[in-house]
Amino acid sequence: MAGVVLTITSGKGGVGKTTTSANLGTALAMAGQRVVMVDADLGLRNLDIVMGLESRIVYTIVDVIEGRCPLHQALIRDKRVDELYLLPASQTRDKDAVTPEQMMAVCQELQQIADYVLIDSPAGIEAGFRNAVAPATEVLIITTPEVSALRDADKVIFLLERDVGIEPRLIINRYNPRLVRRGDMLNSKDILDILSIDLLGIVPDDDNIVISTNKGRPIALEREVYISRAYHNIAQRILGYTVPLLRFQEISWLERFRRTIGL
Amino acid sequence: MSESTQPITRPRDPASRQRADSPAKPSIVRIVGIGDGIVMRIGDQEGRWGDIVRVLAGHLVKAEGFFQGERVAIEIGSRLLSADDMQQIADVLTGYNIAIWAVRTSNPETRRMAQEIGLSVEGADGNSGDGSSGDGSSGDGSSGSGGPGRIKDERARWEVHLGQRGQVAPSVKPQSEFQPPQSIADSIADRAIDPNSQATELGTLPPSQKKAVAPSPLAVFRTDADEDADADADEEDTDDQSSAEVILAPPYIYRGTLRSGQVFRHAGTIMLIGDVNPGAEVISGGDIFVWGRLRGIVHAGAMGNERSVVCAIDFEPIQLRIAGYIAMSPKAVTNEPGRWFWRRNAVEKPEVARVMGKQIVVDVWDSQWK
Repeated sequence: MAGVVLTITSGKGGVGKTTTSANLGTALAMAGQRVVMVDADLGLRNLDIVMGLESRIVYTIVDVIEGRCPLHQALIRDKRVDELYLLPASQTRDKDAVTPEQMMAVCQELQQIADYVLIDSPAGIEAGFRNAVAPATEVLIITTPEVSALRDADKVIFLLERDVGIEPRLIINRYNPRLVRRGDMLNSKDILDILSIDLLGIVPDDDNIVISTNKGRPIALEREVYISRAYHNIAQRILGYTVPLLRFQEISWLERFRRTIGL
Repeated sequence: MSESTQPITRPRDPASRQRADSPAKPSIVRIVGIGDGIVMRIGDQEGRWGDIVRVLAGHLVKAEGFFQGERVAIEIGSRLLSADDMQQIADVLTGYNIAIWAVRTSNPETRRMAQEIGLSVEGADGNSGDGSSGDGSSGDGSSGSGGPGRIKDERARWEVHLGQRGQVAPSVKPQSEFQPPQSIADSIADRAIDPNSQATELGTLPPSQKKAVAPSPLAVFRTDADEDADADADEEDTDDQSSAEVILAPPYIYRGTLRSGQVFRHAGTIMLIGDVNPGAEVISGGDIFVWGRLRGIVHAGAMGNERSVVCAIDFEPIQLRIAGYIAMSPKAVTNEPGRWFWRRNAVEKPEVARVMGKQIVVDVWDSQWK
């Protein structure tokens, strides 16, 4: 049975597409699925850095499309998890190097061998985005609770509904429960009010996630860290299980005191 | 549709996922309204007849109540049809209680077939064919109000657009339903009546038609949209220059939410059942009614009608324009930290915006409004 091609896109840049792709791919692979992550951000590739695999890249997706190497040779296997592969993007070429048809051809090959193909889309609504969305069977929209991100996400949902016909699902990233409690940040209900699509999960704003991306070790690998549970829950929801949303606790007064004095 | 964003191309691919509603070209069957009734124009390009009948049936399902009891004329162009094909479409239409008034075709074979079944035909050049006996809705040429079998070659006055989810309605050009004002103006000149007097000798004439259109001295903000709309109006209604009444297309009701980046233009009043998200634009020649949350940019009376209104249940537009006037939401002006555009309205009541005096005024709706 062919696998699912899941494109992760957002419209606005910097909301966490690459981080989410890396962690979600890892979480799905840890749940037993065979996952291939495809970096569709040609020219500004980031997924390999976040996954910590950049030193092992020899061939990229452009090499596959132009016929210089077979597909299986370009895939990089992540040794930390069973059955997790990465198809890197090219750093020297740019988005015009591939067309949607070529992207679809590659992803169809991947669909035959993998359970999930995660495509990390670049920001924007132009050629890179079109390339990333062309092969998709499902789409995830990432947004932060900010006005500008919501506006762009709304536009992207409109484009998807009009041209592609897929109903996307939403992941709210960098959610700050303390600000929401103060009324300074939109809460999830307001966001869903505007966007009116199904919510797949909420990932809070946590230092551990930022640190882990810099180290090249996705936080989903560390199960004992509380925050990685957010990504594992999302993976379970993708697989079809119903998982309740995490409860976000406000930081305690002691922690707040410690942060104030700088310890 | 969308002016600036290029569409995402999904290359056709046999292994790709089948979508439930594969888009049939909406241009295969066009349903337009002319003076005497409804004409279904079926393009005579490629397309199997079975598919066309299916598309037509789909349209009729969607617009069930609209066509009940109507008579329609079918225009086939030069397509060759057999008697079975004719019968097929006749059955579909009678199933929806629609009578076929005439068949218009330029193909003599098709014409013969239609006559065999008993439908009144008309050639492409406007000659009325013989209506044979039978269950056709028209008999000989002497009866009836509409002139059976004769389709006047008129421009379509309106068009039914049964688009798909997310599609933007095409803008329908406004047409005059009445006698062109130029002939009225001529008759005024014949009688040498002072056009500025409000004499009621021509009692049936609306007084506004005698006034020349003067650009309002109070139109402070002429936006680009206004200039475009005026340019369009000038091109179409060349015989309408003396009228201050704007002739609008019939109202259009759109169900669904308008998302950021969508533009919805219509030359008549628009009734929207759904939300208008920030970043979306609604541009109408008449009024705009939003049965939902209005948070985008709206422009009512885009062709110059200052009596247009904008109503919404949750009224928070980013920018509000009526004819030549522009107004910003007061929330946008405040700089309070923590104030967001999409806060719940403190006044949770429907509101109405209209031009009063020289500015746009937004009132809470109450039953005293006139």
